[in-house]
Parts: sequence; C-alpha cells; structure tokens
Amino acid sequence: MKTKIKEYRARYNLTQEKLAQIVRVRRETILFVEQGKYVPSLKLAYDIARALKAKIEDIFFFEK
Amino acid sequence: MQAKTFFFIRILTAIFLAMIVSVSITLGNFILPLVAMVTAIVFLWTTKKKVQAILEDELDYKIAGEASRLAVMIYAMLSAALGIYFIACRENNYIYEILGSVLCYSTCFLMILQSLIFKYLRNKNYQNIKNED
Repeated sequence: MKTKIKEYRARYNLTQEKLAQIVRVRRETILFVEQGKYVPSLKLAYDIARALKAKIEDIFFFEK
Repeated sequence: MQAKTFFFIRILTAIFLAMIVSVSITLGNFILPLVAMVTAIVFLWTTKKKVQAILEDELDYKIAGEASRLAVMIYAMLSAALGIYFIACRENNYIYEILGSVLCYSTCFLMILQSLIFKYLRNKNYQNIKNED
C-alpha cells in the first residue's frame, strides 16, 4: 500500500501529531500508515481522508 | 493530563505496589497486597480517564490480538509438552504426575476459554452486522 498522506499534510501544513489528534489515534499509527507499513481500517482511512479534505482513493493506493 | 505524566504515575504505582507486596511477604500478610492491587487498579483506571492524549488505538488493539494469540499458542504447546514429559517421568517422583496433570488441565482450560471467548465475540460481531442490515 502506498499513501499520499505526507503530500496532503504538507499542503495543509499539518504535522503527524496534529493529524493524529484530529483522527484520534497515536502519532506512531499515522507514521506507520504514512509509510505503508500498516493498512488502516476503513473508518480510519475515511477519517484521514476527511481530515485531509480528500477522497480515500486520492490518498491510499493498493498495489497487487 | 499529558500521556507522559500518566506514564510516570504508572511507573510510580508499580514501584509502590512492588514495595507493598515485598513488605507484606516479609510480614506474612496476604490481604495487604490484594487491597493494594485493587486500589492501584482503581486508581490507574480513574487516572487514565483524565488523560487527554490517545493512549491506544486500532493498531494497538490489532497488535494486542496477535500477541494474545501467540502467547496462548506458545503457552499451550510448552505446557502440554512439559505436562506429558512430567507424566511420563511419574515413576521417579509422584509429584511429577500431579505437576503434569495440572499443566495439561490448565492448557485444556485455557484453550476452552479461548474458544468460548472467540465464539462469543464472533457471534456478537455477527449479530451487530445482522442488526445493521
């Protein structure tokens, strides 16, 4: 899984800590999701997408 | 309250609890550690509610689930093997048979408990999905 969380965070000037606070998870979880090491639940993916004012498919990319 | 403050409170509580347990072992009092443990659990539970930072999330729950599954698997395999070994060596000492039986029965109990909880949680989730439909 690849994500564009970093790009979107930079666009809205959001730190990992701030994004984590908005979506109510720990900063480490955002870090793992951002690096593609952890596939989030649909709810968390939706929350992240909403916090970054984008659609889920704009942020998360799954590769076979 | 910050997460760091809660972390220090947790460490202090553990140190305090260890001190009480060691003192009560020396005194031969077994009610004191029980009371201290219950008090510590209630204290930490109420303090945790005051923490504004997120202490655990879905990643932690996922890891906790995997850790529990592995712990049960390792314990079951080790204690079953040890239990069988002790029962096989019962000729040497009669205590071995008791020890082996305790280990084997505790493994059975753990596995039954795990299956029951698994079944309960699966049915609960299934029921939630059915209700949403």
